[in-house]
Amino acid sequence: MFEWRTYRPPDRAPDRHAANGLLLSALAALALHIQRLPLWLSLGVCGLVASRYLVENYGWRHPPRLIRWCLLLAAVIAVFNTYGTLLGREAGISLLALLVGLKILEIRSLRDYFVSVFLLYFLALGAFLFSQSLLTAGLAMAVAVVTTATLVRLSLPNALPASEGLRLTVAILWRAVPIMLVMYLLFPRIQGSLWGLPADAFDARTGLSDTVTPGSINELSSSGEVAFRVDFTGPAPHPRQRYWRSLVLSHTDGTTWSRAREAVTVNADIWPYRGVGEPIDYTIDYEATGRRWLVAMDVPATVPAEATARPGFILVAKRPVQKRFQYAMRSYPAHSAAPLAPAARALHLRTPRPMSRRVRALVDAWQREPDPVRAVLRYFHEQDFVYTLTPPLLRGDLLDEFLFESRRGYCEHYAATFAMLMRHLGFPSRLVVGYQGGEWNNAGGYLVVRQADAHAWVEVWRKHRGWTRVDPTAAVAPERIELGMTALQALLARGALPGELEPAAIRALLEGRWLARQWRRLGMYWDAVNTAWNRWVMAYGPERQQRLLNSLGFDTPSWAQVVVTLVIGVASLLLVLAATLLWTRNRMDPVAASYRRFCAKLGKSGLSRHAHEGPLDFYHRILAARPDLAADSKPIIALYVTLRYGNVAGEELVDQLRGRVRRFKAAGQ
Amino acid sequence: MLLHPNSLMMDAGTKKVDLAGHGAAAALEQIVAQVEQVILGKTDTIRLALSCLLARGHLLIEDIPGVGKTTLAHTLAKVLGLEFSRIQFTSDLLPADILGVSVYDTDTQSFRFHPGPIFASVVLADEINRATPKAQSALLEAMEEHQVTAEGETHTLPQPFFVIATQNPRHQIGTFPLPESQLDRFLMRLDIGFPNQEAERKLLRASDRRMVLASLPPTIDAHRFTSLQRTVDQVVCSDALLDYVQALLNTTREAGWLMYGLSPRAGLSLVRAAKAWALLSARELVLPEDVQAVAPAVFGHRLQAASGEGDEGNEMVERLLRSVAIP
Repeated sequence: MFEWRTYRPPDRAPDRHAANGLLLSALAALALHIQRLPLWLSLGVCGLVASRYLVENYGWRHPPRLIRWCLLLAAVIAVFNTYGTLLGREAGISLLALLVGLKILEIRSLRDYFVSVFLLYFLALGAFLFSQSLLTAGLAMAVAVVTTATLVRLSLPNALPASEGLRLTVAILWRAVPIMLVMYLLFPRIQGSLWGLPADAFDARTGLSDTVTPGSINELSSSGEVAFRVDFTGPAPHPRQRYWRSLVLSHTDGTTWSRAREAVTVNADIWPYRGVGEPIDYTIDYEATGRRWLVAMDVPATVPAEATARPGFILVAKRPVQKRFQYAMRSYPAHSAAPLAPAARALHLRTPRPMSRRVRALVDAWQREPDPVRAVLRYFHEQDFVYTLTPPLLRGDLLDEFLFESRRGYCEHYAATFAMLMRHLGFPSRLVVGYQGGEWNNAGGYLVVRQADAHAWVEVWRKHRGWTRVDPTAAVAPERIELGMTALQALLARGALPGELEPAAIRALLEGRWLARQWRRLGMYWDAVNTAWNRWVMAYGPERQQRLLNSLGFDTPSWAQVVVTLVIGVASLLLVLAATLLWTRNRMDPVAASYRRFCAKLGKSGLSRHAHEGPLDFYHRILAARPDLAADSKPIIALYVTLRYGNVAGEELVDQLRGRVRRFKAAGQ
Repeated sequence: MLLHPNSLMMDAGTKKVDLAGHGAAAALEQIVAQVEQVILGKTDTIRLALSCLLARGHLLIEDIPGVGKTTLAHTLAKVLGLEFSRIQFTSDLLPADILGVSVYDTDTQSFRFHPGPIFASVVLADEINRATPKAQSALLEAMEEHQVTAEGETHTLPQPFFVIATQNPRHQIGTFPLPESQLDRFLMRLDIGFPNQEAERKLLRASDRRMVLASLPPTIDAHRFTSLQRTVDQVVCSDALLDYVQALLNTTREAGWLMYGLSPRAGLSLVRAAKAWALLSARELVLPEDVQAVAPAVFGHRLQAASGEGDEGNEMVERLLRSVAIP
């Protein structure tokens, strides 16, 4: 157990080991930032630490004041040169790291050591400005342990052995955990950030763009970054149903598809609609994109509080998504048809350029088919169209060139071509951009959708059925839909041609080696742990705090109330901590507890025992100062001495002592 | 006024193992009384010295000349009925002068070992810091091992065996101060100090103390003394008391004002000395007071101030005792 120790500040300089511990802590804190700092800076700080090491261990001379000033000036200039400012997140941390190095170099007194330690805590804390992931938290915690161990070492110069010091460190930090929890729960959380993060706090992020030019999604297909995770309340829907819509593009100039600029109310898809089929409930854990559009499974039936609904069953967040957040959704596999307004019909039939002769011949042939939509899909399936992630660049008449020349492309090419053909055939159609598929994480029981799963498909207006999803990519490469993008990429990487493989062969190709499978599994576990962290720790924001405070009895908590609650919470925790420590001390020995009570009674009458005074000495003092109490005190002292120092055990005697102490009265004089 | 703990036990209604039943307490009281006839007004010093011997430890007496260091050592030996010998340490003293030499015997045509003055139960090493380190270590090795090895032969020293060393304060000229490692071999270091007014008057008025010493009969014999030492071992030392001893030791290890912490051997010495002191107080259990009584003598020569200042060991022990609460 932890014991009370009277803290006496050491009155001499710490030894070499304490100093080396400090240097180690500095390197650890620097390591937290090393991936963000420029190389010259990391090397510079390491150099400063190394010089201190030489001073400490090899008796090198302290650098003179002039050199230190020059170094400081150089550091400031270099940081300014790199970032163009001394303020802001990156520049600030860089400057702090350099200053810590310089401080360590100039350490002379014990006070300097302590200042350096606290600067190191601050530097470690700075890591959270960049990332709040589990990994960052774990590493920062490790740095905190090392730094605290240094602090312990500095405070107890007649050093404990290293293991003992570490034990003490962990014991101290362990006792800080409840306080950390109270701070976590009650420290005022406000929308945005308390101090206003600097402008460079939000990095540019990958994600969908709001226009589609064949070739643009391709940039995403190589990105393993997670777009969002989905937790289904019921069983997960079939991969063929996993279409996550994000944007609807109705306008095209023949090359690029974009959102319709006209404020045409596509009144066929206004909320609420009548859902068809079994509803699917799920929660989306959405990663920050810096943009406003959200995703929802086809076809969304609800609108989360943080978003508004837009035509085309599109959800748009009220402010750009700068932070990961979660929203609960319900979707239906299909929806009831509603009429299409004439303006909307015109918009979705607009073709910017005339067809070439070859295309017109083809379209005319399809017109004569009973079901032209099916005919086009069959054409894609039967002709030698190839799904590839490295298609040739198209110029000029995209439609003509793709249908007759290149015939190589991926979802965007097929979707754009198909939508254009539909319009030429007289079917209103539009492009939907979003994600398709996702990887099921067995460890966490959720679906992970990555940027690589970005997809584009087509919605065609059919009489009596309304907007109907048609995915031409499925006609060319069914594996993309059935197995997902990751699997497809793996297949393509092995040289397989999508659409021409037996299921058994595909499975064999995908299984991979044992090591690869284990690696994938490990990755899933890591993702599950991280997701739990995000869901349970990071997601505790202003709303949840509000709910907690409501449950604590504050209806509309003001800042002042929250702060008061926080202070009361921390204070009562400290009290509980102190009480437990005192209580365990008392509990250990009832004899000692009785004696302490006896001493306290005497203490109230002005005769208090000195901490270092033994029982006999105390008795002699009682005898001299209060002869009237001697008769009552004597048996108590005798019993105490016998029980505590005589290795005599006996409940009876303990009870006797307890009773005598209880009856003992020491009225003031 | 002194509260007699035995009466306390009776009041508490406890049944106690009466060590004094062996007459230990009475015998010890008698010994102290006898020594006091020679060394006037130094009851505590005498009791500490006796505790040291009862705890089987060697004693170092440090004080200026003429306060009765030698007399104390001699009196103790006499009263305890132990064989006494004295070695005057000088700068030209050789190890052989202490341990003994082998001399060629013409009759038997072989070397015969002539035991040196160390072969006695109580050896007074007078002014030990005036001898060279070489001579000092010869003595200190014998102290540690209770045997002497000379020319390949090992000779066991008598039982009991004590060294009572005296030394002048080390600031004096022409001395070789004992290093810390050798100071550690002594269980206690005592200073005698000047007698108080009353005792000094008595001293001046009366006849030569040596006459008193010469006429003093031994109170007990070596055999009885050994049995007293065994009685000390039976004195009860509870966990609560050991907590206190450990708190003291830990404080010396953590306190910034001390050069280094105390060794486990120092702690062991403290416990043994406190047990002997408790027996001298006719008590069969050790109290924190006993620890506090012997701590200055046991710890004083083992502590060194971090500031590197001279020797105020007893003051440091006082500071230590004041700063550690009795658990």
